[in-house]
Amino acid sequence: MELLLQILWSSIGVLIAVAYGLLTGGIVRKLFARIQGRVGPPVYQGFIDLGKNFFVRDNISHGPMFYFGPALRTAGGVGIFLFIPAIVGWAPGENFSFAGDLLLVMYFMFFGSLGMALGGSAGGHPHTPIGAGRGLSQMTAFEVPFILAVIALVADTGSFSVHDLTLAQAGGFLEWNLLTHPFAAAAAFIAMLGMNGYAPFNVVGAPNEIPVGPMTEYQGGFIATLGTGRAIFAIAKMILFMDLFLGGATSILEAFIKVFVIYMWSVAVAAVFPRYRVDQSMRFFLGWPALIGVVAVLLALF
Amino acid sequence: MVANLLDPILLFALPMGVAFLLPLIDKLGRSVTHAVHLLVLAAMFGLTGWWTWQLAHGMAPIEIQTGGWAPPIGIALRLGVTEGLLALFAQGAALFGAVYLWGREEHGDIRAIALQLALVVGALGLFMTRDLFNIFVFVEITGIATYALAMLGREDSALEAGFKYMLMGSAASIFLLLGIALLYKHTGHLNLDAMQAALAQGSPAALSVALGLVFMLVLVSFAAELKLFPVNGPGLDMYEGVDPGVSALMVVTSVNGYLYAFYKVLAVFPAEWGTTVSVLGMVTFVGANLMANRQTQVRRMLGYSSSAQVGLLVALLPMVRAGHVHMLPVLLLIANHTFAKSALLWLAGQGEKLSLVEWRGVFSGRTIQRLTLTAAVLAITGLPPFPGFFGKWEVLTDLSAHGGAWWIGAILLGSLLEFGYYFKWLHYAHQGEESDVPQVPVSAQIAPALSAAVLLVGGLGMSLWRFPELANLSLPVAVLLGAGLALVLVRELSSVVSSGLALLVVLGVVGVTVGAGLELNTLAGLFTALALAGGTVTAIAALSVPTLKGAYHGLFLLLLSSVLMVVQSEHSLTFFVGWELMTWTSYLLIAQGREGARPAWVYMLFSGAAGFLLLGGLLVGYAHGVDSFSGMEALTGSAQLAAWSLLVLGILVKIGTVGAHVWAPDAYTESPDVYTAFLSGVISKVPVFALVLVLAHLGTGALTMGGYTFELHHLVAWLGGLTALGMSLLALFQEDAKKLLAYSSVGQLGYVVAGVAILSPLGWAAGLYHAVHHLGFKAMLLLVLAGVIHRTGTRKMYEMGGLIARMPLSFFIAMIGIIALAGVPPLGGFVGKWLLYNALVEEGWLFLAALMMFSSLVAFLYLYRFIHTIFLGQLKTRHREIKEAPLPYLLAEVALLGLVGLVSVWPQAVLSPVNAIAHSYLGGRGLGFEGELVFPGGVVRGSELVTSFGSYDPVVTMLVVALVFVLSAGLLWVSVPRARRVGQLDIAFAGEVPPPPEEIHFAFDFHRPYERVFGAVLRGQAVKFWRGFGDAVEAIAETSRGIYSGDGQTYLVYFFGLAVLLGALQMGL
Repeated sequence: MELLLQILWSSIGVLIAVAYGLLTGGIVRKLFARIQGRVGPPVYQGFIDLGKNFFVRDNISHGPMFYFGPALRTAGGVGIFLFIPAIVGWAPGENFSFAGDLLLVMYFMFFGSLGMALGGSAGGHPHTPIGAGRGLSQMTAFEVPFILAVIALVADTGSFSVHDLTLAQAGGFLEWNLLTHPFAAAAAFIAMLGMNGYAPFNVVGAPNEIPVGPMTEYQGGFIATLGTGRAIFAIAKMILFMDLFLGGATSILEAFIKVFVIYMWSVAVAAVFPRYRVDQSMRFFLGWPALIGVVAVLLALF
Repeated sequence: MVANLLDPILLFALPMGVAFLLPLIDKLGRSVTHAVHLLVLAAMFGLTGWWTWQLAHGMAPIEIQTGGWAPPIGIALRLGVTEGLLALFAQGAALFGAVYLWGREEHGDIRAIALQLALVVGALGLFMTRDLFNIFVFVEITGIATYALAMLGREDSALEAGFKYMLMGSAASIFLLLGIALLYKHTGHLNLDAMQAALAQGSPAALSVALGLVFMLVLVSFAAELKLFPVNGPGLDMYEGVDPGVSALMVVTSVNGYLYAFYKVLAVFPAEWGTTVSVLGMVTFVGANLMANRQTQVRRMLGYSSSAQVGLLVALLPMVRAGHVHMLPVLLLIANHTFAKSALLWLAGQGEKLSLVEWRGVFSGRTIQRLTLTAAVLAITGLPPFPGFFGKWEVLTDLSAHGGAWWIGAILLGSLLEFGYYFKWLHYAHQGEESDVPQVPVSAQIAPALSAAVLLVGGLGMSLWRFPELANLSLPVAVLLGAGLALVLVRELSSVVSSGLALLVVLGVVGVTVGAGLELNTLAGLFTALALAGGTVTAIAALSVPTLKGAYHGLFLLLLSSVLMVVQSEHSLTFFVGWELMTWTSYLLIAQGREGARPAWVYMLFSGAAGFLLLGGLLVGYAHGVDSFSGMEALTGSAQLAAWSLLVLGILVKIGTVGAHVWAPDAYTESPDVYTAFLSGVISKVPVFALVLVLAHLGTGALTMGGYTFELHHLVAWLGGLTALGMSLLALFQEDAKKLLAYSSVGQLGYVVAGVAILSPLGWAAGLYHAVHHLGFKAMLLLVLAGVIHRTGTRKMYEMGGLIARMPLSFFIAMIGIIALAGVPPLGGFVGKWLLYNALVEEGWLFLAALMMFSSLVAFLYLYRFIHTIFLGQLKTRHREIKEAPLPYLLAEVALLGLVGLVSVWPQAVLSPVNAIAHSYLGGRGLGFEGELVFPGGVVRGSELVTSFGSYDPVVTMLVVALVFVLSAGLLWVSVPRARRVGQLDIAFAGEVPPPPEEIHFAFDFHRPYERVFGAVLRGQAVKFWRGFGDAVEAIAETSRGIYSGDGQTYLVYFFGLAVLLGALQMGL
């Protein structure tokens, strides 16, 4: 019974997250447009696109594995959302975080990426493996500062549990890891730029070059499903950062605000930077950000 | 009593009489002559055997005084057990030598037969005589017989070699005679026993100068006769120049005779002078083995080897005199050398003087010789179950008990150098197409085979008699050994029959083991289960490989038995026997791959080094009276650290830890595809087993320097981490799919090493869980790949692509495999990593945790590349009609899928036995949380694993993942109601017509960006280092072997130079 109830709550949570993800995406597009002196699409453009794609009549498939990509990608996005407590201390908002700890969350993030890469590859388009290869390469690099930051936090807090990590920051914003662990926070927030895949780390999809990378062959309903997964994945990552560094949230409103603020960090960077090549971005992440992460771990050790 | 009627003097009378009658006998026909020759040798062998049997059972040594006169007028001979055994070896090998010569017309000369008999008699005399002058006489007899035999050969080189040999022999004789004369002058005796008695009474002061001079004279003389460094030049030329049949005869008769005579003469000198002898012998052993590595002429190489082996024996003789080493193991070594070297020389008689390269493929299709060569090489390099192994083992344990660490080091170094050239010859002779070198007559094939058979039977018999703990094998091990040996002997048995038989045997063994109640809660039990699971799966898969015949399946069973022997061993000896058995069976299996010969050779060198390091560690135990791993807990202080370091170092080399990894990828890649799965899944785990044992019993390897203690296991864990990272990075850049998985295999072992080396319960949980799980997914991936290679005939990933369309089952299994390997939840790879990070963070090893996380991400890259370039993307035109992998492969893969599934959802299946193991070795350390099912370092609540740092629930995770996947798939199904399936080239190509599949499958140089970032660090640093190391060794060998100019005068200069040197040393003493 409890489990069924949790499924119900979490389903609602998923829907909210999708909606919020689409909305945020719309806002970001609007922002970029205004910075570049354009009018830009309306903020609800994401919903329109989704609806249009869902109802495209003719779709093209490259075999069963081709379906797997979007399915795994979306499952990955939803799964990651479910394994992170969205609102700590409020049972319905804790989702299925009891299934595992931060390690589960971190490794589950790769579930969708791998699924996407596999499904896309089944399409047979050469841009897919190029994009996927770039994406995975870049991922290994930006995860280094993130891993170091996480380990520093875990060593200090004494737990891998996201729940515990969040609760450890209770008692006002002065207790937030953002302030108490500035090096870990810095490393993690730089890593986030890579995770979000905005400029300067957007070579994966690389518009104008390998059209949309891994997703080249997808259209219609496939894109719609992918878009859903992508929206929720974006929000889930922000929730994770909120839990780890901004003391989590005690209400939905607080969560909305904090998530939005965190998201804007990578948007702000993206708005002013051009694109890195993969090897350049790898060198970047393995340089200063990684060193900041090392300092964070050293601080945790001594 | 018959013994009273038959005087041992018959052993001299019989052959001498027959030798003189030979011209008459020959009138009856050449076959009769041969038959009489054989009969005489057989009769001598029988008689000696009879006496030796009696002597060994309590009869007093037989003393003979020729003509009934007592010394000094008559000659005193003695036949004791030692003399009897030596005579048996010589006569037995000479008997085989007679067989060898039977079919060779050019040696059918009756003069040759007479000379052979003279050599046997000479050797007998050297064994039995107690008279110093008599020794000189017999040295002359054998010497002259040898020159004469050599010069019977019609080649110029034989004449030249014989002459140089005679030159050196004469110098040696003169020195010996001078020495004997001096001794006679000062003691008034020629009889050794009387002389010893006189020396014991005589005043040392008056004698010492004269005795020193005698020592120099005798030592230099025997050094020349025994071909010790640096006076072995003529001997080497002799081996190269004369027919190997003659060299073989020399080895079995005169060389052994000189050895024993020298041993007898040594009794005259003070025991402490023996060190000079030992040093000279050991320098020869190491030096000659070193130089042999640069030798391309096989016969000369065997000459170096003889020098080396005799050097080792000479080095041991004074130690036997001093009572530091037993006589029996030395006799074993002599027997081993006699039969192995004679077999090798007879085999080298194949064709004209062949260089190593010309040996390519000579034995490819010649079953008997192939088996013989293998056995003889294994015997002479001292591997079990041949007598050389047991001889060396006892010598080394004896030495360790007497603090002979430097001697042990030298013996092991020389033995390793020996591996280098012998296995090189072996791989040349076995590899490639059959060569057109003509086959020798049957008799010349049988003779070496007989020697090899004696070695095998003798080795097995001796070992069981001498070491009862070896006879204590479990039934499965014995069955596997027997069946394996039988299949090896019928090596050409068809693949269908032999693979079926092998599978039946393995299943039978599994049945017996399970039926006997396999106790999983012990380390031995867990690894037995691992080995049997891997063995069964591999045996099933092998059903579908038509190229693997009896030889493969036999070796595979032997290998499986050796693994069981190692993991079930309770004694250092059983452990090491199993370990070395595993090493060489594995070597032969790797060499069966199409291009496997050279990688197998490199494997053998590293495995040999690993084995000797391990042996060194075990010997530290023996030095302190400890003969098992569990007993090593008693070691303390520097002994503990020394044992720990040597054992761990050996294990790390065998695992292929970064730096010593260079052997692994090629060996994995080039071995037969099915076998690679076993190599990676099971064999690579045996050193892990050893690591667990060492760490459990010897602790953390605490190194205290200047008051600060550093625990070396920290370093081991870091090496594990660096292995994981380094191998994963290297795997990225492979175009060869199998090599990619090979690097990956070594890398995955890095996680296991790191986990085990943490030496905490949770660390063990991580390491051992991963070790078991790795068998599942890696064997699965390798078998999938084996199926793909089977169908496509290539290992290059860029030559594949899109195979999902033709091999969907293989693809599915590969996908599960890569998810498991990548550590993505909900499969077991994640459980292993989760445990590992928990363990590392618990210990506070934070940077290592970060390093391991990073390397696990790198694994994603090569896994994606693997599955994309093989199965996804564009299907090649020529693969349009390809079939799914053969059924046995799929069956084996499905079985492994079951294993992966089980440990993923129910990790307790592994963690619970590991808990018992950790509990028994590590005590209650780190276990808490009363009243719940416990795994090492944590607890299980319901289905949830909980440690002090985190928690993971595989069942809930699996359910959540399944749920969201169904929902996402449902969403997709709703949004894509009727997708039209299009052709593989119907892609969004900007309105252009896509080029053919071959051109748009992105596969080659896939991870270019990564190479841009890391390339400089990675480009073959380790390979460069080891190649440089090898080059340096070869350069030293090349330079030093330059002293053998081939000029008789130079050789004499060395002779006198050695005399001056030894004289000076002796004066200084």
